[in-house]
Amino acid sequence: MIYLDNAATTWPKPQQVVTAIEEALVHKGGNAGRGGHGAAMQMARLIYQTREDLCVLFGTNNPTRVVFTQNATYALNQALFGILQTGDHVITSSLEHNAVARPLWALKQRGVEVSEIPGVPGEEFDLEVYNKAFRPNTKLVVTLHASNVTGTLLPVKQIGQIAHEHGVYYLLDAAQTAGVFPIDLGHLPVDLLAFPGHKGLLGPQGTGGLIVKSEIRLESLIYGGTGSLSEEDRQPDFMPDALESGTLNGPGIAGLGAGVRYILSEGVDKIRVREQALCRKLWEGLREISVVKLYGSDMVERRSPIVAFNIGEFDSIEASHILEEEAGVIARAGIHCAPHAHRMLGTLQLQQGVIRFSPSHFTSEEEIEAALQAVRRVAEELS
Amino acid sequence: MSESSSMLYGKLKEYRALLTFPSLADVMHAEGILTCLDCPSAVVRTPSSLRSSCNSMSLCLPLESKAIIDELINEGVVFTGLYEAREDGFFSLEW
Repeated sequence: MIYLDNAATTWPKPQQVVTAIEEALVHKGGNAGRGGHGAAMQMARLIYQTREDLCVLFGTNNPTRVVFTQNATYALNQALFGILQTGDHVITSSLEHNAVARPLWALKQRGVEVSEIPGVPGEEFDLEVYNKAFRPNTKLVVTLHASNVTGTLLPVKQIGQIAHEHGVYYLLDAAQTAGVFPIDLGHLPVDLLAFPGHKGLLGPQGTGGLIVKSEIRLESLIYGGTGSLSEEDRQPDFMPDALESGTLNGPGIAGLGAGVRYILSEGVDKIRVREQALCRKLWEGLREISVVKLYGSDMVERRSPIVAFNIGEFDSIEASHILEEEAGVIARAGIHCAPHAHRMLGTLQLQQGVIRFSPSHFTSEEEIEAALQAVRRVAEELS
Repeated sequence: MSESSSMLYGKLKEYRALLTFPSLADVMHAEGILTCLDCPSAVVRTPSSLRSSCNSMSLCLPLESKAIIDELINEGVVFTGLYEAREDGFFSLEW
């Protein structure tokens, strides 16, 4: 099997991640925050260590503002429903994943006004239109960092700066960039950062989080036991307990911490350069196949490690099925839970979708060459 | 002073200052800073007379080190109280 679907979830994971999860399950299985005994404290320390590791990675210094969730979607929902109320206005992009598009649709039904900044391939976020989109009731700007369809990066620094000039918070969805691109909250004008644990951070599925800057208070999505203020019916208002009801995924978070420490030891830049070199090889190889249509900028070094393409007019789902069946190449096809981005690309209207290759730094050059060879063969067969 | 008398336990017998916090994450935040400052400390369960909760943990530290609380505040640590632990109860402390 040649696994090229790391944009959906990275695999394989570093051995350190596997070891950390096993260590937590076998030796540190208490329930953090539920009792002050040694087993609970062992797990609590593992979880807290991961908060600290994430602070180092994301250039922030308050571990209590790191909220653990089961994925980036939950973190985005927590931020959006926690901050927006009826009558508020929110600005977003035309590239969003359903993790943002669907909660915004639901909020719109509750009286939240939503503006989507238009874009076209090559100019995916019109800053001039954006600058004029602010209203007196604008409370939040939310965008992804990089498209999960083409890897296109949005100008997040400018987007955040403009939001702040208007006194508006900026929520960044780092699903495709956390662990691959440097994200320094000490310098980036980002107020809320949502991230998955199981993609670029190399942790297990079922992990993710939200970093909330200190001046922001969010209403919790769910309420319940936190182990703190147990004598009171009201939810604690202090972080992270306010937003972390119920037992956390301790073993998963331990694995996430190991993934983050692995990234810190390897270096984000080294990982990204390796992945982009593999994407360059993919891009150049695919470009030589006459019937292949590539999407996004040819500057693969300025995108997250994704290469999106189609083989002629063929259905992407069918083509990817053949790639797997004939050559064991695992790719994601279809519309990638991102109909807005596909509408911009024109691949939604054609009901074609795209095939997406997304290597990791563990992918070998030989695997890339084998995947290219498979596409050449399938292109010949389908032509 | 707390209403009930105390029976000192764990490191509280040795360190007689007790620092209480809103959340477990705050306890660990403070513990990490005290370690960096070479100040001995220990995580202990919060006595029920000070807070009834199912996971409430506190930090105890040597009474003579109580001035270090200012350093914790400077580092952004949030805490709810500082007490002297005696055989006859917990008494609010100033530093």
